[in-house]
Amino acid sequence: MVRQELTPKEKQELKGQEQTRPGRFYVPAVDIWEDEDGLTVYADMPGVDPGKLSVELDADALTLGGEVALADYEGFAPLYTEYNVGHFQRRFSISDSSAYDRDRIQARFREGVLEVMVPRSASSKPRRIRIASA
Amino acid sequence: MALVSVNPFESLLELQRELERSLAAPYLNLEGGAQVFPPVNVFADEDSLVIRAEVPGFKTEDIGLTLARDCLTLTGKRQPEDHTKPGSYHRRERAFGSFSRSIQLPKDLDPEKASAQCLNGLLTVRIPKAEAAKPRQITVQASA
Repeated sequence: MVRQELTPKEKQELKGQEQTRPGRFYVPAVDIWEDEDGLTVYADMPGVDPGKLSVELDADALTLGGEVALADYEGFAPLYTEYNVGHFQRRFSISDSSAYDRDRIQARFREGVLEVMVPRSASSKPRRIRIASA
Repeated sequence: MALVSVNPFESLLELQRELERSLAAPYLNLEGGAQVFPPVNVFADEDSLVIRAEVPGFKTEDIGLTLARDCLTLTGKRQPEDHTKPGSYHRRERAFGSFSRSIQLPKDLDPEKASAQCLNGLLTVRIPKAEAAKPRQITVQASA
């Protein structure tokens, strides 16, 4: 049972990359898990419109993106704020990208978390070699 | 004649500027800067107070909301991901655990009519203003 208390972390702004549209972008917090099946990236993107998510895997990088819906704030006048809101984007270089099967990449979005599963290509899966007893 | 509310947020930048302006503005018992999880934003719309918090990865059943008089308490817990096969994390930035936060609310609200929704990791709590506190339109009579 998890006992630890959560503490707030300030949102990290995306720096050093110009966007064509005005507005601050944020870097989503991620967990990257790897097992024998492949890589799974979990990215926190709360408030993102599921229709405005993007996952791109090119030769050497995985780019995740998500846009918040401005309509969610229609008619609202801010009284007090502790966090700002903005679109998310994050890009990861994948070392040894040939070990992964780009065509079988899968993604799902649950409770504001984007889960991207990049499976290992069959040829790169670790094979168990049985040691024969003499 | 009803007031037409115009969405002033033409662009994300404008919304961000408005939120920035209210950043850490003193409000009731809330102090500037999020010291407690989750950070909240408080808005007013035509007839309600709206409180928003980002709670990605929290299942709706793991979030608790209690409203007592003028105090809103948010509690919740987030479980780490379940992995069936052995492996390792290359990066671990997301936090897991529990939280409990109380927010004092203004006294002119109607807690009976409070409602909440959690969609895509965004929790929105709406508490309408009490009838007596709503602005009333006064008809101007033409004097006889």
